[in-house]
Formats: sequence, structure tokens, C-alpha cells
Amino acid sequence: MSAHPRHPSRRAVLTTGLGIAALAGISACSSDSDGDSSTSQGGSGGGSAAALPAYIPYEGVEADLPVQDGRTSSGFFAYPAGPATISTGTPGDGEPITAMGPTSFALPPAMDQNAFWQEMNERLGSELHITLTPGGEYDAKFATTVAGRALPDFFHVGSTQSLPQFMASEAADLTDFLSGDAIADYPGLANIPTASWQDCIFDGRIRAIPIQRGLVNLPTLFARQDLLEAAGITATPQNFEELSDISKELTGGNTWAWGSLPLAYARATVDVPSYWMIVDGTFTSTLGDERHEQALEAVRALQDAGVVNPDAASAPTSTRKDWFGAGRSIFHEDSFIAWFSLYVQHGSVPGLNIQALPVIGFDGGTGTQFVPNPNYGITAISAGSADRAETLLRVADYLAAPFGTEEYLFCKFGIDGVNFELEGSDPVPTDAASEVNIGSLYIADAARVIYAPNREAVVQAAWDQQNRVTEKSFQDPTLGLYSETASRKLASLEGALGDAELDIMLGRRPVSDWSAAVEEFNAGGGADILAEYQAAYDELQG
Amino acid sequence: MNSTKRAARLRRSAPLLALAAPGVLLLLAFQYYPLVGNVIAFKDYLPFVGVWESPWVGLENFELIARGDRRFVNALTNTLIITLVQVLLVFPVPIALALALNSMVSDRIKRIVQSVLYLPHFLSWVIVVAVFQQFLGGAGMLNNFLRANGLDTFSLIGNADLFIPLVTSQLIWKDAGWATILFLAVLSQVDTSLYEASTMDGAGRFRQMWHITLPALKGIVILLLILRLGDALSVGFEQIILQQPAVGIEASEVLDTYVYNAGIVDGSWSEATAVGLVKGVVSVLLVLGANKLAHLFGEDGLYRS
Repeated sequence: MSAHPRHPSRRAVLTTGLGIAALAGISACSSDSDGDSSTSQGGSGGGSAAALPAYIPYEGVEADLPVQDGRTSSGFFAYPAGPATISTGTPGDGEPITAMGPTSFALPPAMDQNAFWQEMNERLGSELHITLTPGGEYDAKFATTVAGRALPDFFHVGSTQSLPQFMASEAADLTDFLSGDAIADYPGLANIPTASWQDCIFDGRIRAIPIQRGLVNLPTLFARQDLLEAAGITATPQNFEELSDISKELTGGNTWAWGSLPLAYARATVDVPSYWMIVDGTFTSTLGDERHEQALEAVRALQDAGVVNPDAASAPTSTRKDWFGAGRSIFHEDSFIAWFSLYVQHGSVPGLNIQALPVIGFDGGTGTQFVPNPNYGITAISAGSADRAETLLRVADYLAAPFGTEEYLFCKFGIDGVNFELEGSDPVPTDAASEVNIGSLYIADAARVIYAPNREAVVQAAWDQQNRVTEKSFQDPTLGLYSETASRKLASLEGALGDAELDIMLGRRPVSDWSAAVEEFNAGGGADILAEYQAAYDELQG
Repeated sequence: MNSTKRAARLRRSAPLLALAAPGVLLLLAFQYYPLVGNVIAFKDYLPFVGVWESPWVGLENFELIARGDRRFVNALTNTLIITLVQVLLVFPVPIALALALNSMVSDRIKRIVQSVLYLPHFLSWVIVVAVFQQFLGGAGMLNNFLRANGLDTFSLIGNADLFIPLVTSQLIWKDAGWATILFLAVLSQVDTSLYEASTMDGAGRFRQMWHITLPALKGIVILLLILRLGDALSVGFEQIILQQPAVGIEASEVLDTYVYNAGIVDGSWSEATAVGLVKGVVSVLLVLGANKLAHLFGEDGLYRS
């Protein structure tokens, strides 16, 4: 992942590979709510204005639900009929293209058994060789790849020290191709809002492509509404205590209300959804706030009550998605966008009804929704492949084809009659739908909209949810700010803090240990990071 | 004169040297050349800058050892505890097993038992850990059974207090059988006439074991102990890192996982290398020391100078 989940427990994620070993149930990825989302590492910020690409939205479609800046993504009830083809010819040059990226899905069938992948190669005019690593392990994989000097043509930018220097040294300069109106040659990439490109500017040069998510990146708490109703629970809980009571009702046998330790959600209920916050122009740390202890205490109580799956702390995201689909957990923390992929993944579950919970206040009222970086991360073209940059950008552009085009339909849903069947104009996924998870979406991705095939109600509910939770929300304040200390030490510091959080939630250490962990965090570099963010923030404000 | 002798010897050994060359080359390429990379322990290494271009910082990276960094000390403590437990509990098991196997009369049963004991050695840790998890995990077979019958569940995997017993028993289950091979080989060399003679003298089975079998094993036991001591600071990387999420860093971090977590995951390459380097040096000293000790006991040990 290009950045660290907000409350990471990266060590916890190391063993995701076990899941790949086809031994479900084991190990890994406690991560947190936003299994899919991530927060910014930030571009370097400075001197960026000149180079930003123009935003040229695709005008071939009209949304059923409008986009509202900072409040909602656009929503579509149906896939546009007779989608237009916007590409001409094949973008590739016939030579194989290598790429590496994270994935939060089970691995797809290999290329020779994967009709979608073969068709993709055909359409691109180049063979795509993608190395996928489970999201939680990606940073380690990335680090070793960098150290081994083995970066492929496209690489999703993982966590690294001194990011601006790294990008200057290892990523091809794309400015000439993408800056300003030049991006018009790449209509898919041009359809990505300008805000997302901020992350891709390093010392005034464009060195990456954003994997845009916008507001579909929101950390979200999902509930199996069908199972709640089956249990006779129809009212939405109004405070954390009610949520906890419901959890107890829903737990029994091989079912636990929770498949993860919902620390991120608990923090949102007590209005401290982030480690950092800007208060009256001052960049502050929320870590000293005793509400963090309140949130930890609350999750610890859930764990204590036995309503969290006993293997939650070590289960990878993919396993937690399975639990949720199988009804072995009722509540599931994920990225907002998972709403739709969960429907696809568990399409065969009869009566499946997934709803998002509002962010409730701990003692009633409304909590604070965290709004993360609008990008999942960024992907760069290796400096070693700079001579192929134009070709590679054309490939990226193809993969970023806007919603409503024929290319988008293919990239996201696959081949008609193989990976999906058309119902009306909607592509309804078949059993072979998982073939499309080859990871091409971490090379480049279309600007996201709210859409679920043949599920108008879900689209409406999702759009409403965005509209509702963003009313009291809180934007990641580190967006666009760069701190050298953070780039060097934040991963390690957050790792240690995450370990402490996990230990506390699991009852291995007392809640009172939190302040010691925070002190260690601050002493180990947290205080410097705060000061550097403040300085960067001041500079940005002029 | 001397040089002609040497040349003749070289000519004579040429085929042997040629045979050894590929192995030596491999050793140089994959064992010795990478050692040069340890130089980053003295540098402020950034992977994309490169090993040689990164700036020198002297001993700065070793500071965390000197000042007793909490994470490092935690890893060191866990490592030493696990080593101690393993030497005391794991090391003797194959000896006991070998003695038991050796005393078996039926060759057929002995072979079957041996095969069964060897088998787990060939499973990777991923499989072994997964099997343990599926059987004993919080949502594993045993606990699901207990839950289904309204009994109290019991937490073994994911219980930090039981982590060391857990990894120790896994290690015994997996490798104790395999480790009997060396001991069995030595036992098979013991002259049977010794046993016959002792029987004539009226020695029982226990006396035979005490006076014949165990002394025969003494050399190999000391050799293996020395080798184990060289490994004292390594207690298994894969096995532990796979189970780290379940019990947390506090209980499970050992030096090897520390180097990985701090170095590769957290990006403190240089500091982690410094720790690894110190670990390597200490291990060499331990082996040398133990070898000396073996000589004092009148054994050959690893080598004699």
C-alpha cells in the first residue's frame, strides 16, 4: 500500500501469505477498518501548481445521483446501455509489461487459465505480468524489491523512507506527458480529479499516477442487515452501549458479531478518528486525548465479552470478508468501496443485504467520520523504463477508462458471457468474476463512482450514506504535507503504537499503558513529526 | 625444491580442485559476497541510493544496542529465554527417542515408527502452524467442539503466556524425530560385543545404557551442543513470525524477527543490520568458546587447531 493504514499493525499482517497457502482461517492482517483504504504519504507539495494535469471529466454519461464536492461521489443506477469505446488501436508495444502491486482479494487464476487476463493482453497489445502481494505484506515486498534493484515497469509505491528522493531517483518523470492540457491525450487519466494528482507531484514534477478513490475510500462499518433482521433487530443502535448489547445478542456458536477489533469505528464514535488534527490553525496530535483510552476501553470490553472472533487479530482482510459473507460475523469494517465488491463476492448468498452503519456517537448523537486521502495510493513508472513511458501511459490510460465506457466495463467486469452476463445493460458477475482480480487496477484505475450492477437500492443507500456521514466529518490533515521524519520513522512508530493498541484491546496490557506508548511515540520522533507537519502546514497557508 | 614440490602437489590435486571449484564459487557468491553488505551497519543506508553511495555514519547504528532500546532488549530477552528452554527441553528429546528406538527389537516396527517420526520434518512451518491453528485456535476444531457442547473454551494459540510452551512443543513435534538420525547412526556403531560382555558381567539394561550407550553418544552430544550454542541467538524465524500476530510483539519478538520487522518492514535497514552483525559476532564467539570448553573436557569438539 502506498501508505499506512491509519492504525496499522503491520506485523500483524505479515503472515497473510498463509491465507494464500490455501489454509483459510490462519493468521494476519488485523489492520483496521480501512482494509482497503489508506492515508497519504503526501507528495512533496512544494512548487506543484505549475505541473498539475488538467481535469477533463468524461462527458459521455450522466449520473443518476450527482457528485457533491466533499460530500458524495456520483451514483449510477444502471450501466449506460451501448457503452462507447474511447480507445483506438492497442496501447501496448508488443513487449511484455511488468508490474507489482498489492491486493486484498484472493489470487486470480493464472494467466494461462484466465480468459480475462488473456483478453486483457490481447486488448493491450502487450502481455501484462503482474506480481501481486497481499496488501498487508506489500510494504515489505516493496522494500525488498527496491533494495534488490528489481522494480518492474509499473510499481505501486509502497512505504519508503525519504519518498521525494526515492521518487526522484526511481520514478520516471511524466510531467511532459501529463502536465496541464497535455493530459488530454489520455482521456482516462484526464478524468481523474485534480485533487488526486497532488500526491503525484514531487519537487514540481509529476512522477506517478493516482489510484483515485475519492469518497468511496471512507472507512465504513458494514452490517449484515438480513441477519440483523433475522435476529429481530430492526432499530439502528443509538450509542456504543446499544451496539455492544446487540453484539452480544448476535454472538453464539460459530458466529461472532465482529470479525475485527473495531478500533477505528470506536474512535470515530468518540470524535478522534485520527492521530492528527488541525485546531485553529495549529497542527495538533490527538494522542494525548483521553478519548483514545475510552475507545480502547470500549473495544477491549467487546473483546472481553467474547463478541469478537477469537482469530480476529490475526485474520487477513480476505478472511474477514469471507466470515462476513458466510454470516460468521455480522459487522465488518472495510473501505466504503468494499460494499459493492462484497455483493459481487457473495452474490450467491440468499437474501444478502449489506448496509452501512451510520457513525454513531459514543453516548448518542453522531460521531465523526474520518475522510482519508482521496487516493488509495500512487503508482509510478520505473525510471529504468522511462524510454517506454509513453506506451506505458497509454496502457495506464486504457486501464483508467472512465465509468460508462466499454473499456471500463471490460476492465472492471471482464468478458460478456464469461465473467459477467448482461441483465438489461447491467453486467451481473458470474462464478468466473474473480478472474478480473489480476491487480490491473493498481496500475491505473478509473475515477470512482457509486455503482453496483442491478442493485439500484444499494447505490441509493451508498450515496445516502456518504451524504449522511460527511455531514460531520474530518479530513486527514496530513494531506499534501510532507515530513521527513514521518517518512523515515512514522511506519516504525505507528507499528509500535499499533502493537500497543492490539495488546490493550486483547487485554494483554492495561489501558493505562496507552499513555506510556504515546510517550514513546512522541519521544521516538512523534514530536518532531508534529513540528514538521506544522511547518509544512504553515508554509502551505503562506 | 620446495616450490617444485608444491607445483607437483598442485598438479596432482588439480582434478580435485576442479571438482571443488563450483562449490567454492557458490559459497563465495551466496555466502561470502553478501557478507560485504553488512557494511550498511556503518552507513545511513537508503535502498534506492545504494549500498556504496549511502553516507557513512560510523557506529551510530549500534547506539540502540548500547542504550538498551526497549524493542531490542525485548527481542534479546525473548530470544535468550526461548534458547534456554529449547536447550533444556528440546535438545534431550531426540536422544531419548534414539535410545528408545535403539532398544526396539522388531525391525519392522522400528522402521514404521521412524518414518512416522521423520515425516513432520518435511512439512514447512506454514503448514505446521496452520495445522496447530486449525486444531487448537480460538475458532479451531477443539474450541468449536467445546463450544458446541457448552464447555469452556481454552485459549492456547493467541495466549501470550503460553507462547513459549507452544513454540517449544511445535518444535519437538516437528523436528525431534528427524534429529534422532545422528544419534541412531552413532548407536549403530557401538560394538555389540561390549553389550555381550557386560551382560556376562551381570549388568542390567540400565547399567548397559549408563556405561556403554551414553558414553558412546558423548562426543556427538557435545558436538551438537556446540553447534546449538552457535545458534543460541537464532530460535527460528518462520515459525515465530507466522505466529506473531496472534500473541503480539511483546511476547514473541526474537532477534531474527526484530531484524526483519525493524529492517525490512519499518525501513530501519542500517540499525537492523547492526543488530544482525552483533548477533553474528556473538554467535561466532560462543562457538569458539564452546569449542575450547569441549577441549577442556577432553573431547574433539568441532575442530582442533
